[in-house]
Formats: sequence, structure tokens, C-alpha cells
Amino acid sequence: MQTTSLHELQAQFSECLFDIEKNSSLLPLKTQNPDNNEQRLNIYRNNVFYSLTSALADLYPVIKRLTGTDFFNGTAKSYLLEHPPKNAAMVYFAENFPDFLLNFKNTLDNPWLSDVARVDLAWHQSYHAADSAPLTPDQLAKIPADKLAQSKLALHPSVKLIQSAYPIFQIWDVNHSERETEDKIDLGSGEESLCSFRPVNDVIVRQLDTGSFTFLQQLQNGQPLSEAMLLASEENPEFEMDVCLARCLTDGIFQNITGETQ
Amino acid sequence: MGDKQFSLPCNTGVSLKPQHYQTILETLPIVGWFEIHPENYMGKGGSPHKYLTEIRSHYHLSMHGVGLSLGSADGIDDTHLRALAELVKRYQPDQVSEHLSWSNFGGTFLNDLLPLPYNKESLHILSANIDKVQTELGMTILVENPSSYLDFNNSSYSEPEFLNELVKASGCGLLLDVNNIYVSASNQGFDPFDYIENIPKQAVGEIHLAGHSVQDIEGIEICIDDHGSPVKNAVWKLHQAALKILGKPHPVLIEWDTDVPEFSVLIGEANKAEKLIKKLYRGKDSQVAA
Repeated sequence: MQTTSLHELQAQFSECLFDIEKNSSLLPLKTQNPDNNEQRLNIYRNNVFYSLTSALADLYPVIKRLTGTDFFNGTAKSYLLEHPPKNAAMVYFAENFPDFLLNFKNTLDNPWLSDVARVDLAWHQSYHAADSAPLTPDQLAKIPADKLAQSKLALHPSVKLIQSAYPIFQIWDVNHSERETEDKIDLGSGEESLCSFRPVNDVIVRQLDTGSFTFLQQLQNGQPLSEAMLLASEENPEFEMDVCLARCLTDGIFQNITGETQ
Repeated sequence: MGDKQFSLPCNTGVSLKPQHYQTILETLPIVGWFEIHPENYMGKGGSPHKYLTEIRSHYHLSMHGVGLSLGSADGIDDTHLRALAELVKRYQPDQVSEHLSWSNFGGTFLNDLLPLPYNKESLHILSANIDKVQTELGMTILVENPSSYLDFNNSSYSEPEFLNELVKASGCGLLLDVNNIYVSASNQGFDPFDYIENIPKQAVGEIHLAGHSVQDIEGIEICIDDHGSPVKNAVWKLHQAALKILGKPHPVLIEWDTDVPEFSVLIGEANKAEKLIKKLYRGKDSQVAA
């Protein structure tokens, strides 16, 4: 009788799952048929990688569509070997996959892929974000005119802002909706910004001009309206705060309002 | 722990899947209860919670965890246990269950139900881990027999013997997964009927039924517990035998996790299970009529 402790056994089993060089002879298995044991161990290996690869594909559907199943599965395997999950709740799984894509040898030449992955992740995070009632136009109208400039508008907890040197909104949008299109997207067509949010049930992803992006980013950082407007106008001289505010209110991007007196 | 309180109704429930949320709320089908994997509801808000809240207001609920890793030599992950405790507090499930397996080692979650040797050390570790969970949740949990593909040489108990010891030591109940018994018996060559005769019958609080596939793996035929098809005839037969051996009605779940079909397919399976309960017990609560 061997005396492998449970801690040792679990360490060895984990190694066997993640390192195909290690084989089942490492484990204290009944050995009437050792060849058979290797195949049985493979069932666990397959289960672990298959289930995690499926979870990764569910989380990054546009990346899977863009790269194709074989390339995606190969990339997933490399990612999982380097970054096995640290949380049992899959809601928080693979948050560093976009960073991995930026540095992974097979995707290194396509840095835009990492930014598109950030949009997939933002969609997922917006979907699971905390619930909060969006701010209504009536609530905004109650702020006295002389207080408005110094007011701070809180963004809804589901709001994720992303800016990229590449046309990420066009790429993500056409692939997420699985629309058939003849149009080719020019990767050199310039930077794009977007916002992912979920005011009630459904996640919305909207393209933003640079002024609106800066405006929302400043509000998210806790700046008052006046300061956010100033920086947004510097970024984009055509930025019109009234138009941006009206659209954000309709969309449900704000959750709450606090004036300087509160 | 105090007396076992198994409060799920003794009829048939089905797995709750996101693709069925709308159908369920629009039609409010006659089904005993729903079972969820709590790990899928550990986000802060959004649709999962909205639908679960509505469905919970109409139906009994069972939480069937896959992430606690009761068999971890390093103990239970506190963060995960707290997240589960919050969900239990919020949704007040009738029952909470987990698996006789491990999936967490050294802070890594392997997302699979991995096998344990059955000996004094693993009994001690499992009992301590289950005790911690039951104390945190303030309730008795059920522990499910796993499907397994490997057998350890440092086991000193058979699985039924181990389950008897575990129930005694930790006060937990037993979730009898009939499909898992069939799968393990086929893969490891033991008698599944004999297995059921030897489990701690009074501790059973729920029964699981699910589909499995049979795969040829490099020349060996192996049953894979993939929950992606209707319950096989051989498993229905084993279930019928289990109901007779147990001698009284229990909550039965039709479990379906991969290649999820239309909701009506799950209901069809649930109706089959329900008919079997009625046939065997004729509406009586504690007596086998067959």
C-alpha cells in the first residue's frame, strides 16, 4: 500500500492534467491495466480543457468568429496552460485574455485583436454588472441651473469605456451580430471609441466620438460636468454637451446625480 | 448538525437553463422544482438574477454547486463559500448540494469534478470541509456520488462504504446520482444494484437522472457523463430498482447541461420520471406499493 497523502495526490493529478509529459504512472492508481489508465486520465484532461475552452469561447464569441475554431482552440490551450482559472465562478474567468492576446506569439502581429477582445469582455462585464435604476431627464432637470456646472454625474455601474487605435466598433459590431456583409473593414481607418452598458436587461454597445468618450471618461473619474465638458471640447472642438447629455439620458448611461452641496 | 431536513418536494424537477427562462415565465409549466448551479449566479446583477428572482417566486429551488471542491486537501476556498452563502441567503433554496470530488488545488480551479481516493485521510478532510460549509450555510447539504474513470490503489473503502462513513462523520445527506452509478459501474466493473443496496439509504435527499454517451477511447468503450442527451434505458431500469430499494419517494431531477434541447424535451423526461414515482408509490408518502 502506498502512502501518498491527499495533498500530494492532488498536486500530482494537477501536474498530470496540465503537463502531457507527465503520465498516469505518477499517480497511485490501480494498475491491472496501466495503458488503460493513461486513456482514462485523458478523459479528465479532455474534460478540463474542453469545458474551459467552451467557457472561453462563450466569453469571447467575436474572437472565436474572427480567428476560426481551430486557431481559437489552439490559442485557448496556450492561454489556459499559462493562466489556469483562479475563481470557481466562471463570471470572473479569463479577464486577462485580451492582455494575453497582445503578447501571444501567434497573435502578436494583429494587435487590434486584443482590443476587440476587450469589447467582448466589456459586453460580458456589462451583462453581469450590478443593477441600478438609470437617471431620468426629470431628475436631471431638478438640478438648479447655477449648480449644474459643478454637478457630478455617476455613470451606471455597467458602463465600460474602450478606446482603440483601430476600428474596433466596426469589427466587433459586424461580427457580434453575425451580419453577412461584403464590405471590407480597413484596419487603417483610424481610431474608434465605444461604450458598453446595460441600463436594464439588454447590453448595448455604442460607438462614441472622441469628445463624448473623453466626457464620459472624465465623469467616470469623478470630474464635475464643467471640467468634463472642457476636456471633451479640447479633444473634439465640435463636441456639444447638450446633445451628448440628451443621448446619454435616453440611453440610460447615468445612474445618479450628486451636486457639490451633497 | 441537527436532524436532516430535506425540503424539496418529492416530485420531479429539471435543470434551469438560461435558454428556457422566457418559456418558463410565459407558460409557468407544471414542474416540481428547478435546480441551478449557483456558480452561474455569482455576478452582481443583470438578467441571471432578474429571471431567477421571478422563477423562484413561482417554484421550489435547489442549488447544486460545482465549485466548492469538498475534497480539497487544502480546505474550502473562503471567497467561494461566502459567495455561495450570499446566494443562499438571497434565494432561500429548499436544498443545497455539492459533489464528492475536488476541483481546486493551489488556488487553481480545474472546472471538473476530479476523483478522490477513499481512505481515512480523505474521510477526515471531507468531513472537516463539509462541516465548515454546513456551519457557514446553517443547513445540512447533500453530497453527490461522482462518475469516475479511475480507481486509486490507496483506497481502503468501497464508494458505498465511504458514503456511509461520511454521512456518519459529517451529518451530510446524500444526493444519489443514478446515472453516475451506472457510468462508474460500467467503467470500473462493479455491480450497480449491489452499490445501491449498500448506500446509507436513510440519508438520501435527492436523486439525479441524466444522459451519458458511450465513446470508444483508443479501443476501450467508456461511458462519459456528459448530461447532453435523454436518460438511457439502462439508467431508467437502475432508477426503478433504486426507487424500490429506497422504499419511499424522493425528489428526482432531470439534469441536462450540454446540447440543451427545447424545454418540452426536459418536461417529457420529467413526466416519465413522475409517472414512475406515481406507479411505484401510488401517491402514498412512505410506502412502496409495487
